[in-house]
Amino acid sequence: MTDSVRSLRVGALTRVEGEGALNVELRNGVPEVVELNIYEPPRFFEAFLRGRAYTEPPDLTARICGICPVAYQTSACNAIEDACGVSLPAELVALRRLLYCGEWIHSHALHMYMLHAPDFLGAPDIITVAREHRDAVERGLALKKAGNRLQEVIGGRAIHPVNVRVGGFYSVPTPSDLKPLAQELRRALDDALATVEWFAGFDFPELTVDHEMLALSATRYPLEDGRIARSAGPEFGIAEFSEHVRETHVAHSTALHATLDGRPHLTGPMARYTLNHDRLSPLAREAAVAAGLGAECRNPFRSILVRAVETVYAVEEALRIIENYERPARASVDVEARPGVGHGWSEAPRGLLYHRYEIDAGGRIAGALIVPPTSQNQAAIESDLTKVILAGVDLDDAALTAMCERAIRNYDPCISCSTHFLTLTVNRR
Amino acid sequence: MSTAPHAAVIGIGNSFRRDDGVGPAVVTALDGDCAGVRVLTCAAEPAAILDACDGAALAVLVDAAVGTRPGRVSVCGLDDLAPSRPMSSHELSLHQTFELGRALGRAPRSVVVVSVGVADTGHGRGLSPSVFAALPEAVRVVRAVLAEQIEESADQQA
Repeated sequence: MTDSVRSLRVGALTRVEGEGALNVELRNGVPEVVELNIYEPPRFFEAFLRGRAYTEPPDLTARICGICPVAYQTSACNAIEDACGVSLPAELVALRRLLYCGEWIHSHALHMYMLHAPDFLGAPDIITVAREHRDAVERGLALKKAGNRLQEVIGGRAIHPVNVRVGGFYSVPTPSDLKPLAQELRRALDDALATVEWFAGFDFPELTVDHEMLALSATRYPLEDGRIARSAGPEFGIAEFSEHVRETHVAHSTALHATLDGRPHLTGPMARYTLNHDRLSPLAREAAVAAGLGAECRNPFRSILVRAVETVYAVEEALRIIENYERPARASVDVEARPGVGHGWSEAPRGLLYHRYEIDAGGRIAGALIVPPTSQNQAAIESDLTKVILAGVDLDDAALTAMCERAIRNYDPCISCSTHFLTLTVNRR
Repeated sequence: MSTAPHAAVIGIGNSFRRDDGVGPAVVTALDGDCAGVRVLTCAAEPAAILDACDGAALAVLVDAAVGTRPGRVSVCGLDDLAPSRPMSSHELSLHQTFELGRALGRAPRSVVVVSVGVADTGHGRGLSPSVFAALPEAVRVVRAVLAEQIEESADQQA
């Protein structure tokens, strides 16, 4: 019998953040190799953090990503404050959560409208979508702008906010600074609800994944902090994170692969929703139900719906915080350096972002570890791709390649974060 | 200076990256001296650039240029620029930004790019001497582009 070998190759995956490739080899219709090749050079953030002052990680690590800098700032602040034994007063935590809402709104709107929606509309890009769905694209841009405005007012600027520091902020807004934001957010809430309704009408390919899910969980839907929750195992404390989530080098990627107790796991919107949907606001829950989302979401193609529901939540939450806002008496609390180890995490738009820092007696960073969501999701993405390829093996090469790219974009992977872009190669033997 | 109707002058750049701040510096020099013209600075973010152009028939983009003599002031149309890739896969290039604007029915009728050659785009504030010296010429060129627009509008109305 002669082996049937099939090879497909795509030069560069588009509408993902960063540089990478996908290599697939099929023999007799069975995937033998499915590798997400991240070739973006390693960025060595953890190495050059060593020797820096304990106050510097929030600003330095924010530069890992232009889309989710607030996530890096927040996880870094949480870790340093943990190491130094400092807790923030509730009003500063609320302001940190408000800034984080801005990042979720901005990042989700960008991914949903500019990167992901074209997949469901048979369009190559947002420009083509805009020609057919002008009002919808205007809605997406308005949502993104509302998120940017929040980051400008709270964070000092929309991209790479500069107002965050260990212990709080450099300055805090007055209630009158926030008033125009509330007006903009009330319009954004209508846009967010219309977004859920529009996406609910999309056709979603069938795919069910059984990865264990990992997310923060808190009394409210998790953003800036919380305790760890998982779908198939007992909770664990933040200090135990590295005992459960381990990173390993794989030959085909410059990004580390992380597993949860040795198995692929999932973090991000689907995990957050599955583990926390009962903590959504009533309006966001209602929108989720109306869009056909159940108690859990295990079809990655439907993650766009979860992001839309989370956007509703983030807008509402921002409004709630603004309505209850009283200007903190102090913009920050004092954080004195002390030697030790601190752990911090938060829910970046793409999932759980963990930081750990060791601080020496001189207040310098002696060791740093950063585990971003895309590193955690890589093994799950490769697993999903195998399922997608098996289900679509009768498709021609172009259609199968397009489906593989869609499967990757379901996760809104940020390769720049994980190495801190994508060429697809499929070989059918 | 007489009013140029429906025009926006947008300085693009980052003033914390030395000469990359030449676009904002030109705009600062023009501000308050161009009645009827929207004058603002902007990061190279697509939605922000489109918002900055909102309602304007003419957009004049003032930006830093590499690969040319530092301080050299050039004028061209958007289509004269070589096709470029966006800085990030999460962003749009300048061409794509205005293509999106056209698809949304809110792109200016014409886009003129005034560029200034740069020497140093490293970290820090302040322009290098050759770029700083080119500011008056860049301001003069932007004013000339706006004046030409007024003449064209007047001719069309006549």
